[in-house]
Amino acid sequence: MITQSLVNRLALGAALVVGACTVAQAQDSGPLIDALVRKGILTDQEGEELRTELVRDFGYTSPGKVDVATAVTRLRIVGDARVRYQYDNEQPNPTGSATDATRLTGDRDRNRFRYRLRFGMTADLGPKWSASFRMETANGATSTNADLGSATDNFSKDTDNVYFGQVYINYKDIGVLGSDAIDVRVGKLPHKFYTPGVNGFWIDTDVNFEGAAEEIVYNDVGLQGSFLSLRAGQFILNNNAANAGSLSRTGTTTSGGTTTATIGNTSISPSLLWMAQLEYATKTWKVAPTFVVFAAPSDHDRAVTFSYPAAATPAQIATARRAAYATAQASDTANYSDLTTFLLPAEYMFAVGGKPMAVYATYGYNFDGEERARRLANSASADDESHLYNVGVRYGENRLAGDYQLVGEYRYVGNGSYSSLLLDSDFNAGLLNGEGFILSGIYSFTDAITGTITYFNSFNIEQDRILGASRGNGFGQAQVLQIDLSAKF
Amino acid sequence: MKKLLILATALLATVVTASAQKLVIKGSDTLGAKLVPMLAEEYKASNPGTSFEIAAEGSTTGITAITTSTAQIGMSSRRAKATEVSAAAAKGVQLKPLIVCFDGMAVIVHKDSPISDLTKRQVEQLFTGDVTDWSAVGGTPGSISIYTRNTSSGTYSDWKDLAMKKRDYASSSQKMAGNEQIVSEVANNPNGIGYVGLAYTKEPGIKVISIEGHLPGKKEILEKTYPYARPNFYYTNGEPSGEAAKFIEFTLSPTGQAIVEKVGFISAVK
Repeated sequence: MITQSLVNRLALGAALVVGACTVAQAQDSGPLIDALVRKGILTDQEGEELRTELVRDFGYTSPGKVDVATAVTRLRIVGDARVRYQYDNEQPNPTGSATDATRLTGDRDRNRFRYRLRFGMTADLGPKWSASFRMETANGATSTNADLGSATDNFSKDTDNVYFGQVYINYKDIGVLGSDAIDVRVGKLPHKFYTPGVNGFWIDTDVNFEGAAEEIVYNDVGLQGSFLSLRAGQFILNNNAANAGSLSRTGTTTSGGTTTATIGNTSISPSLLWMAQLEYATKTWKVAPTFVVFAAPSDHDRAVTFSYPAAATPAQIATARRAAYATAQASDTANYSDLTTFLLPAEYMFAVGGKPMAVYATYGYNFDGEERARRLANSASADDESHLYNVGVRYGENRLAGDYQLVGEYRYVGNGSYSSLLLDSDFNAGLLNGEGFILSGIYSFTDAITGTITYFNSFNIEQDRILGASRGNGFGQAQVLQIDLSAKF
Repeated sequence: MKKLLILATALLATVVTASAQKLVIKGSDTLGAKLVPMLAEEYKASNPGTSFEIAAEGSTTGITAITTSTAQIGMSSRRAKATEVSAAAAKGVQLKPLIVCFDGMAVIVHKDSPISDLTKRQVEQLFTGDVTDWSAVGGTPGSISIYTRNTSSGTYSDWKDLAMKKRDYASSSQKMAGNEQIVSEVANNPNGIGYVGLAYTKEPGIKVISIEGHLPGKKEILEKTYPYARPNFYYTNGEPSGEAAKFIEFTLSPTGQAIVEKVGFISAVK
């Protein structure tokens, strides 16, 4: 005969086993215990003892030993590792061209063995807020690669550094301004702009912006299943706090009736990068008109050295100082204002042989292209080339083991069209004044392990472009072959 | 002779000290404000050699006191958190819960409100701010005024767990220091809604709302048909012993449970 006591013991034992088996079950045993109590199989007291015992047992497991702040509602740990073989071949422009004196010299072959690690965490702090960080190997804005064998001694670690690539706070909500979703992030952040092309084309996928970014999404606008996304970014380009100098006049000397003085800058503020994008996407096509604009700081000057007559009045001294500031401001390399590029990325998606296929393209034009081309060339007569574009075809996608993707793309970037600060750094070394093609293939060995082969081949658009900026006229030709093995975790 | 007297006095003092038992009880204000002091007084009447030190400074302090062995009994109006159980276990302390009584939380509105019953979903919507007008739940049109306990209260978070699926309170909700203040505000506001302990449901000017047909009575709470109820606990380090065991036994005795009901809680003993 089965007694009530025996039933209770069996239920206790079963619940203990169920609860103790796995972490998740231990955490989820509350409703089960509640149900057993409600049905009278366990008493309230037995339920509480069982609950405490399960929690205590969980504490002896590995996850149970990790103490996470109570404010954290979910903690996600993500990362990826990649090893790469890279071959670079860089050839100069033809000897005897107008740029010969300062062109990039030599025909260089490089065999490089590289790795990268990106490792980060996101702590959800309730349903709307989260805080994230990501650490990355390498300190460049457009690369996370570290070179094997680059240390000062064999196998030493002095070049194996880790940097914070992302540190940001994120707010997500629904219903704001009648929207279906909003996303606001502040800090050193990953962006959400739509940038079709290998490595993001006009925003290198390694770039983490610094500042604030917002996205607001409306569903089913016009067409069923469509999305209308408005995105904006206000990013700090150059914090001139680094240029802060003493406000006091220093090094004042008087000679031959002329006084020369040096004075620090009196106001400090950053140049900004403004971005705005309006994306309309359906299941088969999307288009996203975009503006990318550099904005000079509204109130910023430089430390200057200026001269004035030894007998000058205070007003005359101030005039001399303002004139010197104006001159310094005009040549301030941190003072960008010649990028007002309109971009129109678009994509059409369909299926071929049961796999997704897409044709994508971007056209861009810098309304300040001439000014930019001339500033970069340091010449008032340099011609401008204000256009950039890409056209590509993508076939397949990588989600599960056995999946593959093939991409072919052609790219053109005029010398005044855009900024090498943002361009994909693997194509033409991220320089302006280049065109060429990219071929890429990705294969998924497992759901998490992929192999990638990418070939970039670019040429200078103008071989004899007048020089002035660093890295001159770019390469006559630049070829890059990358063979990657990547693991996501 | 004088030495003999001194020796006898010292011996007597030692015997008295040894026989005087001091029970240290710390923790929940819910239990420690009235119930446990009343139980202690009654217990002392039949155990004159026992003294009590009762500190009602919140459930967290009660559980911590057991973990740090600074009390024999910890009072708590909530279950020990996983981190507390683990922290205790790491110090070799086995937290043992004992249900002393149950406490129901009643949803109250103004006495003239036409609302008499709500679903659990509607209660969640009301307190999270998903609905902001009484007409959305069948009431007289008007902006809803939400009254809650303040954020330092264990009841504040318990209500989120029990009634709001752990979501945040509506940003418009007003935080009150205690049950009396919530009753007072709701009684004076025809658009008000709040939650209070069972002991406060008889106050004038308010009306208790049934939840899916169930009012917060003893039967409904013990049979789990009323959703907003919680057990209150004593915590000890493993099986209680000595004076602590005797006091716990007294708490669960008919005499002790009569005091429990007198104070306004639901007896843990059916």
